[in-house]
Amino acid sequence: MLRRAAVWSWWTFALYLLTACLPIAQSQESATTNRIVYGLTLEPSGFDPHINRSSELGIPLRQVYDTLVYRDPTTDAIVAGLATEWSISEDGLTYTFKLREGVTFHDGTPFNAEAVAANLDRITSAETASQRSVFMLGPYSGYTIVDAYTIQIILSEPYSPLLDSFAQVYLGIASPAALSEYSDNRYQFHQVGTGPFIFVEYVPKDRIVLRRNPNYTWGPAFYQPPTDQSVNEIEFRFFTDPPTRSLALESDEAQVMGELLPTDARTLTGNSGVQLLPVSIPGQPMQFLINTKLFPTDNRAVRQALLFGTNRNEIIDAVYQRFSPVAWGPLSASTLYYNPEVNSLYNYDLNQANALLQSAGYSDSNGDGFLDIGGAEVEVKVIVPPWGLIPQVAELIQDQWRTIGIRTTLDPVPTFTALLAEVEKGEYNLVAFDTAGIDPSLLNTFFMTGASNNFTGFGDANLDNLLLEAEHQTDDNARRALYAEVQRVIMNEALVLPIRDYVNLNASNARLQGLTFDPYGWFPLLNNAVLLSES
Amino acid sequence: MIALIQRIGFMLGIIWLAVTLAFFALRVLPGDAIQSQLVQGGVDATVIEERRAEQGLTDPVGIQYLRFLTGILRGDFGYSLLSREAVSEMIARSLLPTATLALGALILATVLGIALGVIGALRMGGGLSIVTRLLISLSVSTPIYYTGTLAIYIFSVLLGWFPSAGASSFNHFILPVSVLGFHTAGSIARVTQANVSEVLDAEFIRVARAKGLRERDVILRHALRAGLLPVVQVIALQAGFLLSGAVITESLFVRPGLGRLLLDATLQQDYPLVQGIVVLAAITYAVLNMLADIVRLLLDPRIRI
Amino acid sequence: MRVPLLILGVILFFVILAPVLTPLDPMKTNPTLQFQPPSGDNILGTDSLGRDVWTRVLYGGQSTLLMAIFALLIAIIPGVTLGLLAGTGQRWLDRMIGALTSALLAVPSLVVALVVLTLLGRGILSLSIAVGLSQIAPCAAVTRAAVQGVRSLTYIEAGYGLGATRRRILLRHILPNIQPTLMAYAGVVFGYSVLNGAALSFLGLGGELGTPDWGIMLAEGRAAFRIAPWIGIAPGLAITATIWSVNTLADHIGKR
Repeated sequence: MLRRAAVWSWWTFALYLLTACLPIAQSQESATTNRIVYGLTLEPSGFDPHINRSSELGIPLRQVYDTLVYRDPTTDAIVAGLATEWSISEDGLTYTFKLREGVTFHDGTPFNAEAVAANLDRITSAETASQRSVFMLGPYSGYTIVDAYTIQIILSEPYSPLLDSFAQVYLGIASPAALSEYSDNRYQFHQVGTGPFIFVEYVPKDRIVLRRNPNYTWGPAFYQPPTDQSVNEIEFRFFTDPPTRSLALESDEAQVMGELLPTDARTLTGNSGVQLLPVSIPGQPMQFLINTKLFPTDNRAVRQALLFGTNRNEIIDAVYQRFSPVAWGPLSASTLYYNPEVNSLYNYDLNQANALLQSAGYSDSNGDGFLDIGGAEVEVKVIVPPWGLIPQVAELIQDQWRTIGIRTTLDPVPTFTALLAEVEKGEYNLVAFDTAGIDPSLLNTFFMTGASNNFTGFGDANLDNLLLEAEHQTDDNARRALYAEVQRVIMNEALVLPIRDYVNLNASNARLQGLTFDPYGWFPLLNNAVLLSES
Repeated sequence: MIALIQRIGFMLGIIWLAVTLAFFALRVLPGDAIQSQLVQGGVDATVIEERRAEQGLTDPVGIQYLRFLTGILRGDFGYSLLSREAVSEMIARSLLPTATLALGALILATVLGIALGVIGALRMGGGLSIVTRLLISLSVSTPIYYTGTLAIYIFSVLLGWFPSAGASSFNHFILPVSVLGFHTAGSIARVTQANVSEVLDAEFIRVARAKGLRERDVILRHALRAGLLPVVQVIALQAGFLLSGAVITESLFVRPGLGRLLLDATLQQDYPLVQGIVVLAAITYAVLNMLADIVRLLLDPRIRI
Repeated sequence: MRVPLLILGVILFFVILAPVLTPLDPMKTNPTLQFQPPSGDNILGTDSLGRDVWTRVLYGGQSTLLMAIFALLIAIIPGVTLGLLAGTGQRWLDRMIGALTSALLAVPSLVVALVVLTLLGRGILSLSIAVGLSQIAPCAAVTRAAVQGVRSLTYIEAGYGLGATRRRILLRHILPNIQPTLMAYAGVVFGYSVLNGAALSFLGLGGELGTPDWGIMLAEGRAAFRIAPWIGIAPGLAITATIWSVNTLADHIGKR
């Protein structure tokens, strides 16, 4: 009888398998044609562009909102968006935007200066508790509505990155009617913009669905009018587990995917049905900030020796499968005002590294293979977060520095708050941290004396002045010169160990064409995307 | 009636103990979600402190704890520090997908686990026995992320039989349930096997046989009943563990649900959300335990509950 | 039961004698030789940083087995004690322990791990504490259920009737009877400890970076299972063989 019980169980199991294998229709094809699934890589904690701060939210929302200005994807220049023209006052405190007429939000509300004002009110209100957009406005002090289609933004001091801020989706213009209808924590489910795609639904942890806006005629110059083949509906899903991303592309369950594993991207190069679309991300490269307040990296020679002793090419070959360029300075090459003079400043050079360490008084006096000074062992401590394959990079660096006699201990931290807690203790020599953005003013919070992300502990009046002056200065050439000097100073002091310029390893189904990315790198421009019919 | 009130009182006690443990455990960690988000944006420390104060995160821990408890009593689980949605809403939304996944996996695991366990206990020998043992060992020794990835590669990419991403149809349900169910079956099988084979040797079975009862009655009336007692407990435990199993399964198969909600909330230190999920987990465990006790009572009325 | 003993013996032999059996350093990276298939130089191939997989499997066994054994002890000793107390003690004690275990189960193991590793720092010991702690409550629940199952057996009831002491009944009659269940569950806990330790390391909550560990190797192997399946297969087989042997042995010991 027990045997029979067992047999019965097996039968149930077999039945289960059988039902599982029955050829049930694979999935209900949506009635909409030209529909794609776009794979996001993490789920932001919230999807309100005015409140939340993740880069991931901009991937869908860039399609929903227009911004006052855009950055042209080929020239990086600021071009007209919802504002047709703009001017900056002589003192740099007043920005006057002339707004486009005849624009309506997806809910039918007309776009005008009042609408822009309502958005600014929401972003700056204390109740909104914006995690990003309010800080992008810098020294904002208010606005003046000049007429129905003209608005002035007033600043308390000059702030040149303002136009850059207005080109980003975090300052996307939302329908004032929708903003007042839904409270702050509900608006993310009912977003209304003026962009090429209409926000249909957001189901947290599951999907975001967008549908093409048939009335859209006011896009920036690089947006082409839709054709029969244009993508009409987009479903965004969250592929949080990296190794499954390439699998979803291959099984055609997703047609676009971000942030593939480099090894998977290499595997996909052999698949004609899939095309790789690597996009460089401007901002800081993947880097380690070097603590100038703790022995032995308080010594500039040691910092420089560490840079000379790091074989970046080897790291990029092994960890990133050659999909990223070597980084040389505090800004990646696709960032505005990048200074190419920093290139090759610290080429891999063991002789230089050894000479610098020797000149600083280091030697291996006890013959254990590692350097010491005045009887004290030298040890470099590195804080290693788990993301971006940084642990593997750190492990390679640990071995590379062994050849110049530096003993390295790695301190892995699980989360960003744990990283901060370790930084606050001050017992580290290097810590991996960086941020993205195309305007180099992002360097201020990293390198100004006492700034919140100044994990190098470096403080220098000259560098502070350069950074502040560059933020106030609106003249392009003047800014370029100032930031060139900033990059030179940072590398001369060896405050960062740059590893690689960020590249988002996107890939798409080969049938999807015309997909481009805006100059910020993370955000696709899906207006021009077309889905060729299956051949 | 009194027993029922006692039971409910105990359940409340369990929930209180669980959330208290979780509350103070979380406060040991440095930082919180708000600090983490704002520091990444380079926001000034004074602004960050203001924001944390607005959410009551700078109050003494005792005050925060009291506020949290009184909130629960009023049915208010607070708001997520990041999305600022009501915690109860966020959990309610994730409940169904995880519950269906867990239930499917549990049914599969129970059927498969008991089948494998009984076959193992009968010591029939031969190929079937070896396969059974191997399956049990594989189930306990292969992590979900490995079997899951292989399953996606074989059944979605190579064979194209099942979709691997999403939760919109029954077909989406099969791979995740199979992977999670197989992983869960091992421990049920182990305990079934040990108990059934032990009971088969037990004295009262021999007595029953000696009394001349038919073998079928011996096994049905006595052996299986007694042998399955601890198995019921293990099944109840596994039902609880399914939440941790769901963390990885949901990420692999791109499903919405509580597992991912918990993972994100924990790593981002979104305290109200984690606390809300703990309340739910405590209720689930208390109910499961009660159910397990009842089932065991039915299997063997002599047990005192 | 010679086969599982033999397998376990072989595994222990290789793991303990790792320094003798391989001349290579398990931590030494060699990026130019990444993802090399098995060959004369690297009999099990190399991993993503060009480290020798064979060497890492040998050394990895040391940390994996140590971690799992520690975790097992941390889970079993308090777990079984609580379960016995609950199963044999007064009704109120049973209730209290039941409440405590249910409450412990409700605290997510991820939270437990984050807290333990934040307080105690990294290393094999704190990892095993993190893994072991979350298994205490299940052990207690299973033990309690097993005790209840045998308590009602006739001769134990009879023992109470004859006025035998609780202690005597516990040691003489209950413990031997629940031993098979306990051993079976201990085998399960051992297996979960190996896997959970790896899962935590995978989330950045593990021991030292680069330290070989079967579970972590399996996770790394998964990320590269198409270009370098050998990275995951060897540690995977090692885990399965170990768990199979431990389980079979546990069954056997439980029977006696």
